[in-house]
Amino acid sequence: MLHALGTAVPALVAGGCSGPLSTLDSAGPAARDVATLWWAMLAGATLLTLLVVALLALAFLRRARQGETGAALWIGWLGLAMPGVVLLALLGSALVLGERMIARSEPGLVVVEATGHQWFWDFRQPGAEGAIATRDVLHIPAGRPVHVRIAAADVIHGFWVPRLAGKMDAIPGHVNVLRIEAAQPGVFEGQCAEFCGLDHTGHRFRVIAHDEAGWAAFQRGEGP
Amino acid sequence: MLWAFGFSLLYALHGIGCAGGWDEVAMAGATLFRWALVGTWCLLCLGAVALMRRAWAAPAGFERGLGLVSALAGLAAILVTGAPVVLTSACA
Amino acid sequence: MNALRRHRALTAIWGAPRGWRGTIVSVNHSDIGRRFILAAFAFFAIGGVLAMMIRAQLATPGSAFVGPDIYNQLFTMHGSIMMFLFAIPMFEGLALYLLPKMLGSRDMAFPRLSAFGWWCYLFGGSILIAALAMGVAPDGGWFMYTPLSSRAYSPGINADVWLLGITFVEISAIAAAVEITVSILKLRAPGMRLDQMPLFAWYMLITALMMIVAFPPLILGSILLEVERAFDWPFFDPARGGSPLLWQHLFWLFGHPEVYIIFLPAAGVISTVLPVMARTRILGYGWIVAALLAMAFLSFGLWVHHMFATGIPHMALGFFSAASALVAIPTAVQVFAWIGTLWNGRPELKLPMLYLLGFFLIFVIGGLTGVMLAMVPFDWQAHDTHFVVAHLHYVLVGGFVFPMMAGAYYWLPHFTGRARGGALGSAAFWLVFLGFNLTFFLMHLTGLLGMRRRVHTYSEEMGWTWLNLLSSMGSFVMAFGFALFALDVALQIFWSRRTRRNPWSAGTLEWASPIPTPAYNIASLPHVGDREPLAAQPALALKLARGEGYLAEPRHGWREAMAVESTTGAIDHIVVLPGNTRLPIVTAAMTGGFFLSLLFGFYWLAPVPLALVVVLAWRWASVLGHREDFGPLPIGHGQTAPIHREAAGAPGWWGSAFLLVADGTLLASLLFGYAFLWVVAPNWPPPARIDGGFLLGLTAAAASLAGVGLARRGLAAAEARAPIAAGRAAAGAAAAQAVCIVALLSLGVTALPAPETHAYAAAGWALLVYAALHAAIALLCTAFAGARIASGHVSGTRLLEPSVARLFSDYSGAATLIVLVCVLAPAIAP
Repeated sequence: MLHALGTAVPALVAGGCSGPLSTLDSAGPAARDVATLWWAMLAGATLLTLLVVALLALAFLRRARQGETGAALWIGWLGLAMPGVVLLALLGSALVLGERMIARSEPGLVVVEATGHQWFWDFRQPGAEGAIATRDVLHIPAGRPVHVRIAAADVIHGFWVPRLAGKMDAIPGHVNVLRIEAAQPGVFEGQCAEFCGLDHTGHRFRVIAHDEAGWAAFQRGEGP
Repeated sequence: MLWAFGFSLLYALHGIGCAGGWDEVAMAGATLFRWALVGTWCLLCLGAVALMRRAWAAPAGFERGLGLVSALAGLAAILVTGAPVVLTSACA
Repeated sequence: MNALRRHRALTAIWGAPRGWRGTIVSVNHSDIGRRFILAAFAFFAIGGVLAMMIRAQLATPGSAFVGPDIYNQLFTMHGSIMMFLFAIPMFEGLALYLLPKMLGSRDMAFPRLSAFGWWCYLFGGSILIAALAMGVAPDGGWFMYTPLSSRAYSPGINADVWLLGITFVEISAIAAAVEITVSILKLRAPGMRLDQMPLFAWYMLITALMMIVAFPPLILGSILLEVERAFDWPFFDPARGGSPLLWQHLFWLFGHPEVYIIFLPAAGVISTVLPVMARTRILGYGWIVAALLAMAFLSFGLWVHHMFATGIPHMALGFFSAASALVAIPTAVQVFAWIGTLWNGRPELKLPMLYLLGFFLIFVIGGLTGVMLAMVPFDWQAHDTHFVVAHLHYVLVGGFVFPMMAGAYYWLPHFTGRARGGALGSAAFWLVFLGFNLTFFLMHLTGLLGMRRRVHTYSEEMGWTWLNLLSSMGSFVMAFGFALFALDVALQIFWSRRTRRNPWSAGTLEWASPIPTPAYNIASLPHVGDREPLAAQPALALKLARGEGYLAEPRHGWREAMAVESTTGAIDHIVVLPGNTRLPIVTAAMTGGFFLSLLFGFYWLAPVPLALVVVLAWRWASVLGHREDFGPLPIGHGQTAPIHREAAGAPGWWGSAFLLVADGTLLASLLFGYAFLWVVAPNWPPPARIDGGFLLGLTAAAASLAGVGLARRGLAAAEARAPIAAGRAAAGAAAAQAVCIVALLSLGVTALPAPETHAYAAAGWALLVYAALHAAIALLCTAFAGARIASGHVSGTRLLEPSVARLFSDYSGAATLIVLVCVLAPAIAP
């Protein structure tokens, strides 16, 4: 076990939080905001855990009895007031953040369609002459908000590109809209997040974010 | 109890409102939808305050304390869980 | 009578015969409780082996240990076993064993029902394990999302095994919930006010009430899905007006309270064990009870946080996100009340305390990650990743397994009468604790790096290899720890030395009985005026053994216990409990036959076991009771009380009332489904609505109301000592219910479209069938009351049967009216 730890710690430091599917290695505004929220919550959670551990340790260590401590301190302050304040602040900021992330129309918006099947994805992007259909590869322009209209052909699937944004389920009979945006051109890995049967593991796709020229070429039907 | 009822009521109203397209009906500076929800929320808060006053008047004892604390918790719960009606956007 | 003769006389009344016969007929709560605990631990071991296979598969990238078909069965069964066959039965067993002892009583309120619940659990669990062994175990995830679990995408028997097997086990859970509720409210030691109950009883009371309300939505969902699979009624098929989201709502409406249903009993164990370990009393008793109530209510407003990524509008998510965050506050109140208790006392690091410290660390981390997941934007990223796997194991293992292990070491002397020896227990603790954290702490990061749940393999370049390898190693360390725990417990059961009564110097009444406990628990029942009776009167145990309490003198070979007024604890009446019988096992076997015939698709056969269940239920109710009045009987201390058959508010009446609460929740869930489909589902409005049928509807309503009126008149006549009029009224009520059934079903046949055509028609039919079924139950109840009046079991004072019949008729009447309004409304609406 020590040996494993010996190899693990450098890997953690070097590899850090990067990876083709890492939510912490963000490449778009939504994923970046969530990653920031995570680091803030992690800091808060660490503090609170240390507080509890310290209080527990003190309960065993303090030998001199300083008399009974009352319900007001433990239940009033630590049990009600402290978590109440922390939670309200957190809840408020998370709601505001969520408001920023939900799909609403704005200039420069691109709308694409994604349909989950067992076990592949059909995508339709707007082209110069009607929609362009692709399978398992979604093309988007970088630096512009994209609305993905998500549907499912058979069972429930989940559309998720971890480095760009959160996930949204593809539910038969319903159409859900997810907003994604890639800050820079690049290739981003996507995967089906909702268990969808035998080949759920292999139910993956890829998002290619083009620069302006590349996107124009794609819309004309040129390029990869 | 009131919280459970009020919570379901808000959620149901929200569902019906979205399905019925209330969020597109403009009315006095906001949508009909928001007025309906905010109104319900305020009524629920008032109800919880009334319940508090009743619990306050109950005969002393363990049950009174329990009732009072529960009523207080209900009021707080309604205040917080209903707050999204003013904070968040309606049907998206 | 001296103590030894009293012991012999009471054992003769309360004990079970030795050997297999005793195993089959025993209804004693200690026997049943021990069996639940042992079986739950066996299922825990099976679920644990599945978990180790999962970790073996994920240890290295591209592993070929099992394929996706087996892997899907592994994680589905791991989740289902741990939730339904381990956690719930484990605390039910603990409650059955402990509650009567803690409350100063001799048994639960419905001993035969506990035995029935036990056999249902054993048979239902066996069906699932048999399916696992044959390779046809469920493979659609423990949440069974439609349409993946519907006939088109899961054609095999696997999904049916889950739906029927779990529903069978749920029956046992509802039975236990009703029993626990009534036992806590009625069967306590005289004088024990509601606010003098041990906190464990409060926790169990609230848990049981939550189960009564939370399980019906899942039972309803399972029935609807099974009906869709078997008869093609499209509740969840979007092409015909159903919605896959309806299943998710019903499932999580159960599924989230379920988490608290599992946590609260364990928290009850903590609130019992921790003050004893700290040699003090609990801090803030009233606050803890209030926090429990708040938690119970709030936990029903969280279910949508499992569905944040399903496209529900942000405002609605906001309601549920806020509720999810709020529920952390009552949890914090409890955690700090416990820490405050430690500060006020002089805590000792004995073995149970060690496990409790493990609980604190793990559960606090799990709670904090829970708050993170309650935040909608973060959940959009973390949902369905290994972050959630880590979170839920921190909450459930930290919040259930660790407290239960603390409880196991705390109460083992009570079960065995032996003291603990050796250091195996702390070695087991460190292996489990370290192994657990190695497995699951790293998993948070694995999830944030993008590893989804329920994938059977991954590739090297994802960067998850070292994390998964360490997690797998940790899980094997943890498994060794659990094996060591089992070994330690076995050693203590068989080889340890005997110990004295009350080895921890605890204050609660379960330690007043000799250990191991005799079948009758205590030789006489105490009068309680304190939260910790043994601390207030150290000599109490001896006084009770000498017979200086209530019900010290056995009579008529009756199993007697005291029933009290729920709040004040004032003496209400004597409950005469039923003795050993084969009825529970036979009835459970017939119920199992019914489920098996559905499972294998022998629908023509299913009515046979069902009819036998009805016959047995009739017999079940008719073997009790008397044809004479006994009047007030002496109970000791110069006081008298009537027996329960001659008193109002007998446990049987309360049990029926709580059963109807569960039933009402089922109806409410069905109505919710009807409205939900109407508002949210695609492909509405339906092609054809109800067409007429008002006359039949009116007939059904009138018949049902006549049934209600006649049942009430029958009760009044019986009370006025007019048995002939009462019998006639009961017969009339039964006949009216028969008319009601015919009218309801004809209404469906003549006016509603065929159920296969659209979810609207299917839901309408489901409502009608529900009402007809309850009319049938009311028919049976009134007919039974009539038979009992004729046989002389009912008199002006003995009114249990007609009052229960009235209860069921009233419920059936209300349900029929609601159903008719909902079914007929679309005919009038534009």
